[in-house]
Amino acid sequence: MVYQALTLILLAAAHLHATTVERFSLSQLSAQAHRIIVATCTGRQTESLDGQIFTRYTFSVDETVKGNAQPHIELYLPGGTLEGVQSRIAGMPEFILQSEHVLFLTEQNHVGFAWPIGLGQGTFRIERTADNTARVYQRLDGLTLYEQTAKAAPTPSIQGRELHTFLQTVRTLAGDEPDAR
Amino acid sequence: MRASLAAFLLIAVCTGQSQAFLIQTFAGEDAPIQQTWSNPERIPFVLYGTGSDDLSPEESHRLIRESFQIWQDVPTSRVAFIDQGETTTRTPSRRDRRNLIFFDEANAYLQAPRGSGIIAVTRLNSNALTGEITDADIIFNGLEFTFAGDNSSTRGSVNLKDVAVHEVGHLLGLEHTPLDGPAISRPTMNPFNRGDGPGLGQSLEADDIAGVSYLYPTANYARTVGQIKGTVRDLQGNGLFGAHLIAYNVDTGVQISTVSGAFDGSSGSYVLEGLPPGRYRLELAAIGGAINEDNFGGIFTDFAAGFPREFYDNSRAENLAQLVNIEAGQTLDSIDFTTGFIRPGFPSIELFALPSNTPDTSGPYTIRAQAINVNDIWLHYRRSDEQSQRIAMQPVGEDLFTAPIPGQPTHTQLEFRFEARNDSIEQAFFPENGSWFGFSVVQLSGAPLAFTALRDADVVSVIDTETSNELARIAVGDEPIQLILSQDGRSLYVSNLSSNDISVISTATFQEIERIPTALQPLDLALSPDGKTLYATNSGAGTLTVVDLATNAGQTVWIAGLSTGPYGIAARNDKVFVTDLANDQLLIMTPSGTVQSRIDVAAQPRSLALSPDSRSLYIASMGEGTLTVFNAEEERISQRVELPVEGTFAVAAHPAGEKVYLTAHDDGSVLVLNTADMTLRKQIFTGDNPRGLSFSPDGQIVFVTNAFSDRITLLDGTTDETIGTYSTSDQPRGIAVSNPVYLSADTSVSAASSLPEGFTLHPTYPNPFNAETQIAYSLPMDIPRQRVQLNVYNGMGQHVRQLVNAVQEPGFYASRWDGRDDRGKAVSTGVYMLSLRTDGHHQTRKLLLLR
Repeated sequence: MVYQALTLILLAAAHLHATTVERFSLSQLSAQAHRIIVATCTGRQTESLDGQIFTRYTFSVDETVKGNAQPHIELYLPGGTLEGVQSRIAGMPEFILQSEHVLFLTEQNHVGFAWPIGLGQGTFRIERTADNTARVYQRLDGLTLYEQTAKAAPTPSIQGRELHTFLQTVRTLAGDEPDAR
Repeated sequence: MRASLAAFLLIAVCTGQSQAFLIQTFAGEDAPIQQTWSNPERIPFVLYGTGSDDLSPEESHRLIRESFQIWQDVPTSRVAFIDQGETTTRTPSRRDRRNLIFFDEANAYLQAPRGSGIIAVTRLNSNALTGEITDADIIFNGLEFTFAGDNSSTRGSVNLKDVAVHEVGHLLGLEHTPLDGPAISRPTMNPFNRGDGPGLGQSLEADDIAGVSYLYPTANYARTVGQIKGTVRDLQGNGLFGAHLIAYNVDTGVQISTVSGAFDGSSGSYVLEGLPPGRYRLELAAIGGAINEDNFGGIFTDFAAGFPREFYDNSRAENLAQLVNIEAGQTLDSIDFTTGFIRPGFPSIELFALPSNTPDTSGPYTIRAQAINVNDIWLHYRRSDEQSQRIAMQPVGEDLFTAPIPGQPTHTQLEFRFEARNDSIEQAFFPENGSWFGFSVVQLSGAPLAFTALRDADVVSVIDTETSNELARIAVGDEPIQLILSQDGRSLYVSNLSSNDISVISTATFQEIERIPTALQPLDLALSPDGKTLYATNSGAGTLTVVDLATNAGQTVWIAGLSTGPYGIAARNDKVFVTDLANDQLLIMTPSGTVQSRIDVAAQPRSLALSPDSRSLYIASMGEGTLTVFNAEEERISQRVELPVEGTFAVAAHPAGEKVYLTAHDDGSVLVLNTADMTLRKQIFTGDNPRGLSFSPDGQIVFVTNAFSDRITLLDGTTDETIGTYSTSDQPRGIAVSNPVYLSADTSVSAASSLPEGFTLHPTYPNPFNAETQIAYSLPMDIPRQRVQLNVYNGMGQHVRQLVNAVQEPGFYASRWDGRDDRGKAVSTGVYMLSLRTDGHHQTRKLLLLR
């Protein structure tokens, strides 16, 4: 029955990842990030490395909130589509060109690339309203969608917050700060 | 909706208590492609020979095999695995059709940087034309995580089987579930490992069972369930993609979830599959912020959002939902939703704020409603099952209406609802279906009341300390965190961390009466000794909000040179102190917020407390086990006291001034020090993460909130022995305790209320005091009228002030003393005696006046 509802037009072999991941609060993201940047995606290219599929994202850095400032940064993340094979990790953010983000990044791995902390948890999309007010939308701040035994999730406090106040909070949290609230 | 993002399959079937599973898909050209095994009765797997470095090969392989077996044991699914043994080759690939399970101890394959948080990954390779899974590898992040075996885990490790069961679910084609909940019932396919007790993540919940049963059902499974179909549209009639629908079986607790547009992406249609026969409550909620397009593979965007949660049929309140009955094999169609709560053009009414239970017997109780598309609106109210009264509501603002319900005696249960009509005389009720809102007029025992901020529930709980009963839950802003009483005890101020404001609550009525805006993340509160100014630290903004309590007007003051916080605060009339946690400093400021000096203190100063005479400032530090004692008048550190803990969170001085209390949050204990010599008097283990401290007005009871164990511990204020606990919920944080405050001083609270049985002079509040102290007493019902004398005497027994000299009837009474004698002259600092005398009774209490 359900299968009948699907139009299965299949184009390529799929190569899909899924994960178990630690949960991070904004405080933890801010404190643990080696680098926090406001950046715009300017390039995207899928490549093969040791038989695995990776996508190389290039960002122009608009603002460095934490860590060493650099005008550009590259992320080299698993996933992408290549040679008829699609590969991805559930929760691993994908970036479209010209999209703006606040990124909370790990230290570099042994090949010199950082990842967003906690996959999608370390990625906040920036959207601009008609009056050019920049607002932040969290990608994943915890599974607050539906609680089995409690009330429905409240509107996440970060969702739609103005960028400058969000960054102000992040700057505050980015120090070596314990859970002081 | 965007065609390329057209749809994804999110179907639920169920056999147990809750479902909301998702099926792994990837984007096809016109529709998502589902990942499944074509021969689920024979899914092979092979284990890499050495297993985890943290366990023996035998143990790690046994645990992984058991994880596969858990899924195979689902009776409504035909999944079965073929154990291909062990291998010494561990090259994960896309196409070798060997489902390899291994630990990536050197991060040679995963390449996740340190700190990524990724514990394990499952990779699925699928045939492009059929969606058939042809190869799957599970990779554990052995470099960064330590795995524990069986039902054990040590600090810093993760339970292998908890993770492995989750990953096998992915191997079968299941995605992460959007359902959350307590560890005991949280689905295994929830993506987060949150360090729950070992083993809690390895049992399949109904959601997981439903997922695998849907993907690979046994022959009879589908015939035992029903389905519900409908559409979700906005007020303009547009179909919405990605609205979350949940069917909740009100008898069994089964939950099933789907999203609109799962089949065609744009029409807003939905299908809830696999419903066991029964009665269901249907809920519509936006997917936003938490689970979204990124979490489920990056192929979805533009989930519908920005509409409120609602229940079928057009109800905001869960208990008012219209239930839907479903039978086996039945399909219910046209169960439609229009987001935004209302049917277009139909009168819509919304409760503006639900009144809390109240001790106020005089009333009136103001009921407010927000309504649109209405010409006339009425309030119906009734006591219990009595016939209801109907009164017209009056407009008081745009779409805002109010009506008063007269005061009622204690123990009254009041119910109310709204009725509205539009231009077309269409009639609407809210709540619907014959339901009513309600609140109670509660009786106070006369004992102090404990007000506690429940951070996760967005309420302030009110507990009568005599009966231990929770009298009311007062709705406030988002994440109430700290609270403080006004000097006269009539107002309670609550900092709401996430809504960036301060709730003002009347302690006489238990109603929120005002919100004072602040800057980002208001946290700790302090009151100036003269009671005229309220200070709030805006911990996310680096500012201070200064509130003139005569007008409740707030002013935000920027604090120069602050890199984090501010957090703790304490106020004298002449200066204000705040903590700079990042710089390990105490800031001394003018009352208007100008920083005058910085003092280095112990690491990560968090909280502040002044001694009752305001001469000493106590500084709790999270970063080290040191209490800093600061001479607030001479502005110098007078002592550093080493504590047997690694850090402390809250600090409070006992009202008598002889002791200081600190919460050692990480140790789960409270430390008590003698102020005379600053020696440790006692360490009491109270619960998980104690963070809040308060005292009964007479100082005889110490209240400690244990944030993570949802408990308030009561300590004897003299011996510091544990004398009781209150169970709460939702992370109790700030706490304040006061004597009951009655609406009108020097008058009986309510002749109609239940009368006291005993003669009592209650503890005064505040005590010690500076400007004024509140006095409450009760006269027993067995004496119809008696002369009452309430007097104040000094330490030498000399009469200072007569407060009451009258014949009074049984009841609760309140008075106050402003620290002046009968001639109106302010008396000096010292101990005074409050005396309540009737013909047959006499009781006294000590008062400490501090100038």
